[in-house]
Amino acid sequence: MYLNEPTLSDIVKKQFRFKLNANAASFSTFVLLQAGAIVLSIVGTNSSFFYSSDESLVTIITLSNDTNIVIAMVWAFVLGIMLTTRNKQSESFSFVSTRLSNHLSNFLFMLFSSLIAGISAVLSGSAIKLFGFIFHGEMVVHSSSIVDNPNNLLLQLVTAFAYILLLFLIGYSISSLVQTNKIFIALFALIWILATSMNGSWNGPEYALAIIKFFGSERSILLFTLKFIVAILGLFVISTLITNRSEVRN
Amino acid sequence: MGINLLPIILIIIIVLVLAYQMTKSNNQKAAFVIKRNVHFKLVAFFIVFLIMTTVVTEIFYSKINSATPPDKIENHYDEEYNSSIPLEETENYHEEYNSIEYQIMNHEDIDSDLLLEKRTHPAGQTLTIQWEHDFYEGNSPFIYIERKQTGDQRIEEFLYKPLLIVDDYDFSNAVDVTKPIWTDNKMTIPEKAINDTTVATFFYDAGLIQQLMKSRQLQSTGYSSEYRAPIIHLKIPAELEIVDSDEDYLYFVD
Amino acid sequence: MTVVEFINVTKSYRTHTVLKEINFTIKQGVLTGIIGRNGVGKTTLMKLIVGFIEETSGKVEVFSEKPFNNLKVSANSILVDDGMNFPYPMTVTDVLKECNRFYVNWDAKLAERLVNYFGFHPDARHSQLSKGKKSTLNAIIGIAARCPLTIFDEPTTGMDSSVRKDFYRALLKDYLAHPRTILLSSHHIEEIEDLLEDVLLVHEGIAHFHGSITELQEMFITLTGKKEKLALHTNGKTVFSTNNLGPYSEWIIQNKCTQKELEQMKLDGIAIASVSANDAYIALTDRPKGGIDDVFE
Repeated sequence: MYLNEPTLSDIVKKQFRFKLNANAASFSTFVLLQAGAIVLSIVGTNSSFFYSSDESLVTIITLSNDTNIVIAMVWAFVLGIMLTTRNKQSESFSFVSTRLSNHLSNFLFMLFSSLIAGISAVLSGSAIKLFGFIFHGEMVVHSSSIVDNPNNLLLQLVTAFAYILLLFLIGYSISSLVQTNKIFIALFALIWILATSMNGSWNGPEYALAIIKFFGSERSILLFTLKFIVAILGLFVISTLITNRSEVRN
Repeated sequence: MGINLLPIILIIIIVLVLAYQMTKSNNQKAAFVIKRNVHFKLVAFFIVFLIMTTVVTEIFYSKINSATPPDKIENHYDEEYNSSIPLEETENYHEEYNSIEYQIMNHEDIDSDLLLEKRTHPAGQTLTIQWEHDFYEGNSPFIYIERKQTGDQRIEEFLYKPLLIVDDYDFSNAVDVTKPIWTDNKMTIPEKAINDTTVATFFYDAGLIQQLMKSRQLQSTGYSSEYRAPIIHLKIPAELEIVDSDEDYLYFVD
Repeated sequence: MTVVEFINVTKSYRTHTVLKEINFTIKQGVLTGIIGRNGVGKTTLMKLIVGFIEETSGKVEVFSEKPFNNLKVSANSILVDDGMNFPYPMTVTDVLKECNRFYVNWDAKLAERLVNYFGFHPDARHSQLSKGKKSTLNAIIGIAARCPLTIFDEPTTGMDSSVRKDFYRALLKDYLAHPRTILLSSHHIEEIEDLLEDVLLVHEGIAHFHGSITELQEMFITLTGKKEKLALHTNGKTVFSTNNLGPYSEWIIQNKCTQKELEQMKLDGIAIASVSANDAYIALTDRPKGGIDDVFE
């Protein structure tokens, strides 16, 4: 009897292509969200200051691609959660798969999606600048041109990619844990309550802020990379280990 | 409040998306069918579009960035707006704040940069000051009246600039000042037209992705602004009689 | 060569135990039917084989390896059941393309011909197919994948009778052309008995019977005659089913009568016949002397 003995990387590659096909619609969703965010950002935020009488004011219009970044992160978080639903899991097991190959191909998919999302979120700044110019006229650009400072573009891409991938894995891990045991819902609810409550001896928001600052205040490229790699791989390993004995298509 | 609201919004979004997914998997026929390749083409198109706009933006960068940036505060008012020094510690805070008024009251010299215009008008027996609007609404100009000791029969009018500072920027020049209208022995302060001027369009890169950049240019989280109405300083002959319905906005310099 | 081996395998869920120390082996190249009543653990058994779930105790071996989290087992086996679903946006063509990439032995031409024959629109979405159509497509995938171990769990659910016949015929033809190990479960033993070489009867969590259809049938005999005579001759023997219609009754008893006893029965006007596979299956899985008729008495 001839038995086929595939390698793990071979199956992971095939599954990655399958996941791209299976989640194709989420890319369209992303493009629509980003396009909407660009339009909103081109209109801009008006800050008005009164003078002389209530009707007379001066206005400063501020354009920024903040919304694009935030939306890319929210999209990643939601998609991360959806990747581990029972339905998606059983879809993967309709073909050749082990739990490990399934997780690895999901990780590849998240890497790929983060790359796409990071590039669009960063480059959306250019679109906002260009259409903002057409819409509002000349402006004061508080950002150096890419030609003058190509390094900045690279740093922005790296930062956006890292944050989007981190959000992907946070969603993915939360969903993996909840899939394994519903008790994790209670645990996350407890963490949420602890992080938002405050009394004499406990200051939840401060601790939550400390975690955010751990990533957000890091200005050294080396430490930033290190922190994100450890966090992302840590979350991935946790979700892989905890679901490695889970039963599928049940 | 903003921080606490965000996760709630996220949860709502997630629930909506999941609900949508569930209804879809429930064997419903879709209203229209998008072929799978369309999704990939859309993403590819979007990325190419963004790259193209980036190239165009870089070519026209100097044109896009050609607006004159508003003046940064450099005059003596900025001490007060410099957040690193608490207000209480600022020396002569009140005097600094009201410096034009202070200097007028003390017959000191005033920085000529602050002067918008100086006009002279012939003086009659009386001077009528008339307001065309209810000056309790909004900020009417402050009028300082000083009687000259010299005997010349002219009214000297000094118009000082109003002040509008938003964060670090001085928009004083952008404020349109309605000058008083002088007709025989009468000064009329006209009603201000309704006005909305866009003084600047700023572009900032998203704060989050500037994290690793050496020189960051971050948006203010909330703008602080300070406004002071224009000041009119009149030097009038000693014997001139002032006629005014309400003297609340007139300050007499001893 | 042994393809599947179960040694004292127990599978328990939180509230109940489904398989209780079950033992059996499946040889290579045999088409085995897995039969049993609802809820006896046929599906559990099949999911254990392909590694979807893990045994509580005992040892499951497929291709001499533990199937749970095993890439080799996953690549060489396929389980076709109604839990086989595909992503929402994928059309029939898309699904077949994916199969072509995943299964080395995939016969794309055969799959295409079968899909055409059964009248699928190539752009129809899998999730929007009717239940019968879904089962048909899943079954086509099972046949065309040509996995060394192919498992069908109730593949004909929702199919109409002509499609069922076509499917079994297609399966048999492809099996003869490309021999492999096939496990097939169905409620309708009469539908598949012509197809099967072996039968594995799962009952009360164990392998109640494992052998050929003929062996199964030979376990019982049908006696037809007057009720009193039957009662006289079957004294001390286990009667599995009694069917009293008109003057004559039809009883099924274990085939443990001696030649002499049988001759005596014949002399008393009792007709002796062999049982159908279905009757034998029901006899084996029924509690002795207690059918649906007893509920109404």
